[in-house]
Formats: sequence, C-alpha cells, structure tokens
Amino acid sequence: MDTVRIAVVGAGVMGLSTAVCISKMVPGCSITVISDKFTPETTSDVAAGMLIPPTYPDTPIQKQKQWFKETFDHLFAIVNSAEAEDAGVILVSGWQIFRSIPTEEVPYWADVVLGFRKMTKDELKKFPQHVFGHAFTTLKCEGPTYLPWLQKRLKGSGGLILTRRIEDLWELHPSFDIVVNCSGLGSRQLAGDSQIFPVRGQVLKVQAPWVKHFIRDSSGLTYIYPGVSNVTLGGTRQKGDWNLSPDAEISKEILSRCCALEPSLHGAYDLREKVGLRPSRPGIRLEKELLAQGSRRLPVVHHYGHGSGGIAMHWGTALEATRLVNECVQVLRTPAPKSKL
Amino acid sequence: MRVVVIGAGVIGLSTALCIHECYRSVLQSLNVMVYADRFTPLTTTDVAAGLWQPYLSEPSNPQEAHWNQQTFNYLLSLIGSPNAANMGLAPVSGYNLFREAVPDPYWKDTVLGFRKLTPRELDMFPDYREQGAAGWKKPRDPRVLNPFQPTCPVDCYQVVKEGADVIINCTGVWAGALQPDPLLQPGRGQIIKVDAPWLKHFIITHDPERGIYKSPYIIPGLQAITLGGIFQLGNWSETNNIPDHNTIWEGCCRLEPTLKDAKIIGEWSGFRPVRPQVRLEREQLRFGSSNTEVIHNYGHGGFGLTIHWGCAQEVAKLFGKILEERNLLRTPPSHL
Repeated sequence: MDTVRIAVVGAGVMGLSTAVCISKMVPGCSITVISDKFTPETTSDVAAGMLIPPTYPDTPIQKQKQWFKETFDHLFAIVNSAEAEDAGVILVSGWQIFRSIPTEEVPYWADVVLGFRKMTKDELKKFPQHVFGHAFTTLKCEGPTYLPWLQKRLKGSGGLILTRRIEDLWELHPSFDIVVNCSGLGSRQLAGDSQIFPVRGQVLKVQAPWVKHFIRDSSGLTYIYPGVSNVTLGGTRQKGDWNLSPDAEISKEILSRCCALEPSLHGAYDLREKVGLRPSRPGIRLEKELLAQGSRRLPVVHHYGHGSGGIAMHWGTALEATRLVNECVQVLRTPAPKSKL
Repeated sequence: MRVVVIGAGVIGLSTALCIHECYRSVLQSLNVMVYADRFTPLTTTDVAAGLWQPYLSEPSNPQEAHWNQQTFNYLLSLIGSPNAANMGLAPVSGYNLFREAVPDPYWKDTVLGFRKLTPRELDMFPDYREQGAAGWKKPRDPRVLNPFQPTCPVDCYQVVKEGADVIINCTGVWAGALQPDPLLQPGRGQIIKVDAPWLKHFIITHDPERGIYKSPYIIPGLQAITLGGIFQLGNWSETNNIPDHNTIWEGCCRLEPTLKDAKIIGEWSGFRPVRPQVRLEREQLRFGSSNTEVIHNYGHGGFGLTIHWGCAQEVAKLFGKILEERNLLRTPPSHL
C-alpha cells in the first residue's frame, strides 16, 4: 500500500490539530503542515482561548454541541493529566453577565462546561449594570503554549513542517495526494470563498495575577480572561476590518470598559496590545471538494471559518475533518474501475 | 487618652485601625500606638495563606460565627475598590474535598455561590468521593496589610503600662508571656510557597479524623500559591523541617500533579494561636496604685484573617464602654 501524502495548509490551531488527528487516526499516510506563519504569529496565538462557544447560524445546533463537547472533553482530559502545563490548558471559573434577561436563559453548552448555574443575587451585586448571569467553570487553551505542544506531537509521530506561502492549492499537486485546507481567512483566496471575512479583534494582554475569575459581558465585546501568565482584556468585533496594527484609542477604551467590570484592573501593569482577525463565516466549512483542472484531480478537505470559536470547537471539527480525510484516502486506495474507451 | 496596642499582626493592626476610625472624631486626645517586636513580614499573619474560611464545625462561642460573617462582608465591600490588589484582596473560587458526606458548613450563605460539586468535578479528585464546596472567598495576602503607626519593639508589659490608659493585648500565640494562659497553645504550621500561575482555584482537603489543617491544601494567593497541611499542637519549633516539607509536597502533588513543575519560592513556619475560644474580653490590671484597662484580643487559631474585622469591631465596642465609664465621650461614636 502506497503512503498517501497529505498536505495541511495552515498552522494555526486548525491546521496543527487536524494534522495530529490524522497522524493518530489515518494509517499509512505522511503529513506535511505548510504555512507562511507559525506560532506565535498565527491568529490562534492572539485568541484568549476560552472555551465559551459562539453560535453559528448556518451550522446545525446538534453539530455545534457535539464539536464543543468533543473539544471540551479532550482538553479536560489534558487538564487533569500531568501534561496540562506543557499543553497550556487550565481550568478557570467565572461569570458571563447580561444587561437584560436573555430569551434563552440556559445555553446549549450548559451541561458541557462544569458546574453551570445562574448567578445569585449577591454575586450580581458585584456588577451593578447587569441583571442576570451565568456562573461556571470552563477551560482556557492558550495558543502560544498549545500550538508548540501540538507541533512537538506532530513531529514525534513523523509529521513534517514546511514554511511556505501557498498562493494556489494547485501548487501542492502532484507532490501531495490530499490537501487539507485550514487556511482560515486565507481561503478567501485559496478557495475563492467570498463568505469568509475578518472580524477584527483587538486585545490587551496585561499583568494582573490577582484576577482569578473570567468575566464576560454577554455581548462578547467586553471580557476579562485570566490566563497562565497574563490576563487578556478585550475587545472589539470590527467586521470587514483587515487592519492588524493596534489602535491606541481602542486600547484605552478596552481598558476602561474592563476596569468598569473589575476595578482592581486599575492596578494592571505591563500592558501589551495585540490584534487578530477572526476568520468569520455564517457556518464552519467542513466538507470535501474534488478540485479538477483538465485531467488533474486534487481532493481537498476544507476545514475553516470558525470565527470567534476556533479554540472552542477545534478538536471536534478536527475529528470530523479527519473522518473526511479518511474517506478521501479510501477513495484513493480503491482501485479505479477500468475506463471504457 | 493613650491607647497602646501590643502586637502588629492582623489582629493588632486591624484593632488599632478600628479604634482609631471609630473614635478619633469624638475624642480629641485619642492617641493610638502599636507596639510589637515583630512587624510584617515577620508576623504569624504573614505565614498564613489568608483565605477567608472558618472551621467547618460551629464555634463554641456563637459570637465567633457572627464576627466571621462581619469580616467577610467587610472584605467583600473592599473588593470593588480599584485598590483591592494593593490591599492584598481578591476573590477566589475553589473546592473543599471530603472522603465522606458531610453537612453543609454554617457559613455557606456567607460566601458567594456555595454549592456541592457535580460528579464530573469530583472525578478530578479521585481520592475524594464526596461533596465539595465551590464558593468565592478572599485570599488576603497578609504581606500587604497597611501598617498602622508601627513603633518600637517591646517585650515587657510593665514598660507599656506606665504610659497607657488602655492596653489592647493582641499578642497572639505569645500572650502567655504577658499573662499565663493555659488554654493557649501553638498550633504549628509549615507552608511552601510556589510559583504555579496556572492554578486559579483553591483545593482544600479535609480529614475529620486527623483534624483541621492536617490534610493537604493548595491556596492561590495574589502572586504565589501556598501549599500546606501541617498542624502540630504544642510544637514551638520555628524552623522548617524536612519531614513536614515532604508531607506537604507529596500530599499536594498527589492532589494536583501539575505541581511537580512548580518552582518553590520559599518555605515558612508559624504558630496558629490555638485556644478553645477567642479571648476577647476586658480586664482591669492593678500595677502599683493604678488600674489599667486591658482588652484582650487573642487566640484566633487558624482563622485570624477570617475573623479579624469582627473582633476588631467588638474591641472597639468594649473600648467605647470604657470611654463612657470615664465620661470621655461627648457625642456617640461615628460607626460601630
């Protein structure tokens, strides 16, 4: 049986986790991750990495719940192991707070996270502008630690890493048999997908080690996410904005909004600005496509478009992408019927 | 009116502050001084992890339960301040773990969000089958207490009494040196401070058969994590010892395996001032021809930080009575 040569385009959380998944679940293949950017310069490195999933209007809710649960369970096993620190996964408790009572008081993921409950009146006193809230314990998975850990695992199972900017998926033919497209926003060009667009997010990574709880305004615009070595303060959601340079006025404004929720942040120090472009799409694109050009064929598995839920959904969607890759492998390994001429 | 507070741990400093705040506006001549031989960071308070959490069983003196609650509410009111971190205050959530079912503690409605752990949460701690409580409390980093007019060290009652109208005795575990107290004993503790910033929750295990603080605990502070689990009644040794280090380290690493990667920052020993009840009462002591008013405020065991503000307020009340008796109060005190 010939080795099936798989190229994974993109080295953010999708590319690396899919590559690792394939290496574990698809026998007889070689894997090369190809990207122009690697950690710590990917979008995944800017994300706080909180497992609080967004909602995708074009993806069935059952699928979203499945993928979120698979990701949560996978990372929960890591956090309970001795690898937790190497993988950059931690447990963190906190609150999601609402300025008005939501129509859906209990979100679909309430039984996936730990200890989900409504906030008590006494707890809400801490947030005088808010009338309702969720309290729960979830996971935080930090790109700058998690991605190198994935890279190490990939290399350990024989995977290769190549720094190269791909302008066209056909560049990978015929060196590779299957392409897995995890290029995020790059798919606008690589897959000609006009449905994917950036939602710009600016954050501050600050020192405030006394902050032990996350606080998230339900709008998703203001949040405080304590991590291993810093606290992420956010943020913005600027649709269609491709600008990767931080804006000082926005930083001031983010700090002000966060201090309103957590006054002790006035004492935060060593503030660093970061910008990431969420690869947003009405639904996550997880499907096979057989590219054809003349007599050339290139099977592609698309795995991108997670918007603000990349880290929250990555393992579940990587498992699904791996199943699709497996299907492609089966097709390649099935002897073609003799064509009748 | 010369008030001398002896002791500059959390009890001495908070009592001094409370008296000063309550009475300075109604008593022009009020002068409060804190005398001690040890100041932060060398007090017993500085060794404590500083988590607000009373013992699980109800105190023999029901007033202590009230003082605990008063302290929690007071600290909670300070949490919303921009200065909270500088004061050494922050909310923290976590787990109390038991091997068997136990009733909810009497203070479950004082803390915020108290609840039993779910089965999945309990699965994280395979040695512990039952229950747990998650709720937020305050680790108060004792090193950041505001010192209040610290003055010269002292170790003799006599020296003090000659110039003092009222003496507040906050000498903690060493109160016996000033006046014998057979009910007071050291409850020696040893702790290891580590750098493990990925830990955001406290984890406190309980073994009712062995007794309080004899089971591993992990308490994140504002900058470092405190590991402990030592309680030795009657042991006056202030040096760290290796068997205790090993007990703490092995117990805590079993509880939280990621600690194996934690960097040890330091190790300390301290004496919890253990007493069946807190001694909070007035006494008139005769020295030669004069009477000196003494208010005792010591014997807070392993819950000094948990109870300190309630006790300080109670001392202030007793002080107010002294002022009334001496006709020194022109107007009622500002707040009690």
